[in-house]
Formats: sequence, structure tokens, C-alpha cells
Amino acid sequence: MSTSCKHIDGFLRSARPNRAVESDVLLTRGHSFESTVRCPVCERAISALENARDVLSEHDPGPPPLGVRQRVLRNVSGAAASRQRIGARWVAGGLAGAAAAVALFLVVSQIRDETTASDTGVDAARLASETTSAEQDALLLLAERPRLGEGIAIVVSDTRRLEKGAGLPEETIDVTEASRLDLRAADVEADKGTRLRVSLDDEGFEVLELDHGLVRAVASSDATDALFAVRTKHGRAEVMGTRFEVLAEPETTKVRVVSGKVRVHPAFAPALTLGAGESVVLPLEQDPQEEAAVDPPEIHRPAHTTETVKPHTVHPKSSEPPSPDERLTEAAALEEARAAVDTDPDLAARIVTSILDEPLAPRDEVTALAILADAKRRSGAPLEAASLYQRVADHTEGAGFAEEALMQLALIHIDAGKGSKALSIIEETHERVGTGVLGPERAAMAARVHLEAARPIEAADALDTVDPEQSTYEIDHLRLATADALLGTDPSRAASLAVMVIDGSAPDELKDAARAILRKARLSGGQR
Amino acid sequence: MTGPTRVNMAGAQPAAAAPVRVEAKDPQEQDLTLESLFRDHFDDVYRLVGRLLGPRAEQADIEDLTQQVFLTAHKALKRYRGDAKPSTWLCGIAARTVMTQTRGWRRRRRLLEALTREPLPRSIPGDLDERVAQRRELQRVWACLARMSVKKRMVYLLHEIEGMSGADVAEGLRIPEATVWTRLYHARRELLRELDRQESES
Repeated sequence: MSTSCKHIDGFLRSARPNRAVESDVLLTRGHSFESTVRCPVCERAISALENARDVLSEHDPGPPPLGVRQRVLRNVSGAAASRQRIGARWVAGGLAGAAAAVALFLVVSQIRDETTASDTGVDAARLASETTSAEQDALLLLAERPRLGEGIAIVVSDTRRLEKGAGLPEETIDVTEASRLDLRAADVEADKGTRLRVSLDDEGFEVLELDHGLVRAVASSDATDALFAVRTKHGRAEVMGTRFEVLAEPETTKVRVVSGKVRVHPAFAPALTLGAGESVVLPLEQDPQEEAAVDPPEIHRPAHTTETVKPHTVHPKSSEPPSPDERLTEAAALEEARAAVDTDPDLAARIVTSILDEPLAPRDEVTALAILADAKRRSGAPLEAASLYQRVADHTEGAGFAEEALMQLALIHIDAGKGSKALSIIEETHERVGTGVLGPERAAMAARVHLEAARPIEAADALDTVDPEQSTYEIDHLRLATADALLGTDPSRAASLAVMVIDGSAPDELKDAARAILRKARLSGGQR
Repeated sequence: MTGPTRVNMAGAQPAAAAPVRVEAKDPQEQDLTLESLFRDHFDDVYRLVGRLLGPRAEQADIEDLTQQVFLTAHKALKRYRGDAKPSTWLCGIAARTVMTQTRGWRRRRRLLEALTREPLPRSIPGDLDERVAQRRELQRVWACLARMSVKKRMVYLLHEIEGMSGADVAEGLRIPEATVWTRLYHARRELLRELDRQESES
């Protein structure tokens, strides 16, 4: 294939290129074109572009997995609240413009609910009062750019202070909740209980000094960016464009590479390079005089090389809680499974199934079950998915997942034609979480089930549970559908539903339809 | 259970019993809130961000950027005048957010690395073979797409794949419509060149 044919330009410039356009173009431009003979260059180019477009159009990342919706809403709402509080204090000073200069965020708190969000705002405001103007600029980003995951970012430094020799405050940080650090050279997740510092060394490395705990890092070694390393008392791991984990414990440090390469400098042994799937356990700090006698640390190489994820070691099932090493591997495997659930649910299911064969921390277990449920749902196994969603909802650590898990469960039953079962699940969900985040969606789901079963009164009851201020287009639409269905039997109730739409914030076309139903209801004896 | 059965108010079908004829919403009359945006468009934005990031995008990145889209939307709500449909408006925010995140060389390199690492299994029995072949093809095309600048790529994806009109793309990306067509032309040309190069290499 070549793109040298000048007549292809017309095709490339058209808004919606297709073969008809191409023919016109070729004819218009006097190309040597006959009805049965196409320019082979154009023909191949057009086929290639059409094929590319078809291939790209088929790419569907799928719906968000379990828990994402709630987590994002929680974070966005929390950030909005924080911005209002902080903004009132600092925006008047014109500080927001310097946002782009900020590079280092330290994660200090976790947004779990409104209460915690308030606490975050208080912390941010308190920190703002104790910091320099540059840091105040950065603090505004607490609201501007919160990070996902378990925490929200609070800025303690900016790029100016990260310049070599400028002197970074090497403050030790105790991570009290699982958190995310947004460093210049890497994105780092730190487990609860981790103690660390961040500094800049003479060679330009941004160094995360890990006293103890577990961090996972995704970093790049581009020459244009800062270099990144994690240091413990047992050695130092330098990033070479990769994702890796470091687990520091009193007697050992374990480095595991998920992808890319890491250069490891043990404290008293020659440096070594780890590739994807490889790990090394560094020994205790030893007497430097014994350096010559120390063998290089043993590198644990993965057994498989063709899988995108290296299955972690399978241990006989036991009731013992997982060791820190196992936790590290399980966390990585869960992360990989979560990443694969959209693109390869079967692979995600295999990974999670192997993890579930072993004892897990409760939090990891419910996460694994949720991922497996999503994977089964996507791979067309609704019964298994339903069972797993129920386990997630009933899990001792499943509170954060329960609402959406039960919704998914109800949807599976609706798909299977079991509306009554779906309704009982919706009721159970309401008893467990109240309105929750998905209250309006649940009401709409229940109303649809009732309408399909020709039970408009029950549908109206379901819709009545929705706070008028939370009404959506879908809710209003269902109100009208229900009102229309009630005209013959209960015009008064129909009128009441229509009035709710008219008095609400529905768009005009819905209000017009509501007025029409209201007129009919009045003719039938319904009162406003 | 698969995607379409997920709760998505925007994509929800009217109840079978519903006789009420409802036209498309008039954006001029909408009273948008963060909650309504979230409820009506979250799944769509999530999917769009995933598609704009490409097949190797990590779950966490899609989630992260989706959150940023809604944060930006929340801040911009006061300025929303209803000139565009909320879905088009959010599309523009999503595209600009993804552009900002992928514009840098470092991120672009990461994207290319992601497309080339972790080779897929060579042979999987059963109908998985076909799926693997589809994924390989998608990966191949995306690798070509990833080599062009993010500005051109975004215009190409929004117009060709998302089906947005030139005017909508222009409004979403805040560029003149003529620029849309120029970028689209160059994007197609570069894509063609990359596909050509890849084919000759193979």
C-alpha cells in the first residue's frame, strides 16, 4: 500500500469518507477511473482506513466495574466541598493561578463519607494557615486535583523546592490510611502503616525513603523527567521505566517488579537488574568488611513468561492469615486482575480464582470477589456472577460495595425474567443502605418492573420514594408512563404524578406531556 | 450479565408500557447539577475516556480521568449556558482532559510501551482465538494511532469513532471548525502512513 496517489487527498479531506465519495473525487479530478477499474492505490488505502475505523469502533472498555461509580462520586463531592471551604479563605488572594507549578502531593487523609470530607477540609485549612504562599497555592489544588483511590492529595511542596539542592523538607510521614502520593517522577501508593520520607539526591533522583511498610510505584525513567528510586536500609531500587513494589520489614526488604526494569543496589552486594515478574529479597544490613564475601542476592524469576500477569505462588490452603510477602503478591495480582477485567474477563477470573484459593485479608477478599463477579458478568456467566455479588453484599467488609452489588444482582434477576426477586432485592437494599447513592436508580428499576407487570399503583409507590430534588429525566418519564397507565383506574393518583412533573425541573417536553395527562385525569375525575 | 444491563439512566429504555412520546431534551431548558450529570452520563463518560485512552489503558487511569472530567464539569457548571447538549459538553471536557494527560512525551512513551509490552498468548483454544485476534488487531491499529500527536488523534477519534460532527468536535475542543478538518485530514494521512509502514514491516 502506498499513499503516494495524489487523488487520495480528496478522500482524506471528506467529512465522512466512503467509496461513493471516493468515486466522486476521482471522477471530479479526472483520475484514470472507469466504472469497473479503481485506482489500486486509493482502493487499498480506503480499505485500510475503513478497517482501522471498524476495529477502533468495536473497542468498548465496558461499564465501570463495581464500586467505581460510588468512589468517584464520593471523591468529587468531597473535593467540591473542600474547594468551597478552602476557596473562601484563599481565592481572594489570587493564588489559584500558580497551580501548574505544583509537583509534590502527599496523601494524608481518606475520604470515606461526608464527615471525613469535612475533616479533610479542616486539615487543609489548618495546613494552609501554617504554610508559605507557594504552598498555599498548592493547597488550593487539594480541591483542584484530588487523586482517586483511597486518599486525597495535600501539597507540601512545589517544583521550585524540588530543584536540586534547594532543600526539600525531609519530613517523615506516617501513612495512617492507604494513600496515594503524586510525586514528580512517580505515582506511588502506600499501604496503611507505612512510614516514609521523600527527598532529592545529588544525582537528580527523587528518592522515597521507606522506613517500613509497602509502597507500589509506577514511574518512568525518561531523560526529561525526574528519576525515581525507593531506598530502605537494606538497599535501593532505581526505576528504569516500570511498575514495582517495595516491602520493607525489620529484617528484610522485598522488591518485586510488575513490569519494566528496576536496578537494585543492595546495601552490601553488587547491583542487579530485575525484569518484569522478578523479585528479590534483600538481606539484613551486614558489616561492610564482609562485603566481598556476600553473594549476590537470589533473584526469584517467574515461572511463566507468556501470561500478562505472573500468577503468584500457590500455597496449600490454610487458615493462617497471609504473611506480608503474600499480601504484597496478592495486592499486585488483584491490581492486575482489576486491570484485565475489562479487556480479558477470563484472565481476570483466573487470577482472582487462584488468589481466592488462599486465605486473604477480609478487605482483599471482598475486593477479589467483586472483581470476580464483574469478570463473570462480562464473560456471560450471570448465575455465577449473581452468587458472587450476593457474597460481596454479605461480606463483613462489603459495606462499601453492597449497594452496587445488590443492584447488579437485581439486574441479573430482571434479565432472567424474575422481576419479583429483583424487587425483593431492591427492598433489601433500601433496608440496608437507605437512599444511598443509587436510590433514584433503584426506584426507577422497581417502577419499570411494576409497569411491565401492569402494576401501576406499585410503580407509583416506588416513584414516590424519590426525593423531588433528585428527580431525573428517567424518573419523570416513568412518572408520566405510570400516570398514563393509571388514568383509567385512579385518575387522582395520575393527576398527582403529572403535577409532580409539572412542578419539578423537567424539560418542557415532559411538562407538556404531563399537562396533557393532567387534563385527561381531570376529565376522568382526578383533582389537582 | 453484560454492559447494557447496567444501571444507566441516560441509556435506559422507556418502560414497555410507557405510551408517552418524549422528544430529545432541550439543552436550553435543562437545570444541570453535578448529581444529574453523574446520574445521566457517568457510564458514558467512563466508556468515552476508556476509548480515548485506548485498549491498554489501565483501569485506574480511566477511573482517575473520569473523576477529573466530573470535577471539571462541576467547576464549569455555572458557565454552562446550554449551547450544547450536556453529553456533547461532557465529551469536550473528557477529550480535553485526556489530551492534557497524554500530551507529554513521557506519557506518550508510556502509552507506546503499554502497546508493545506483555505479548498476548500465541494460541488459545476455542473461540478465544478469535477474540485474541481481534485484540491483536485493535492493538495494532492503536499502536499506529498512538504515534500521531494527541491533538490529531483526538479529532480523529471524536469524529470517526464517536461520530461527533465537525461543529461538535470544534466546540468540544474549543478550536475553529476549519482546524478540525485540517487535523482530521492529517490524522488520516498519518494513520495511513503508519498502517502502510506496519504492513511493509510485517
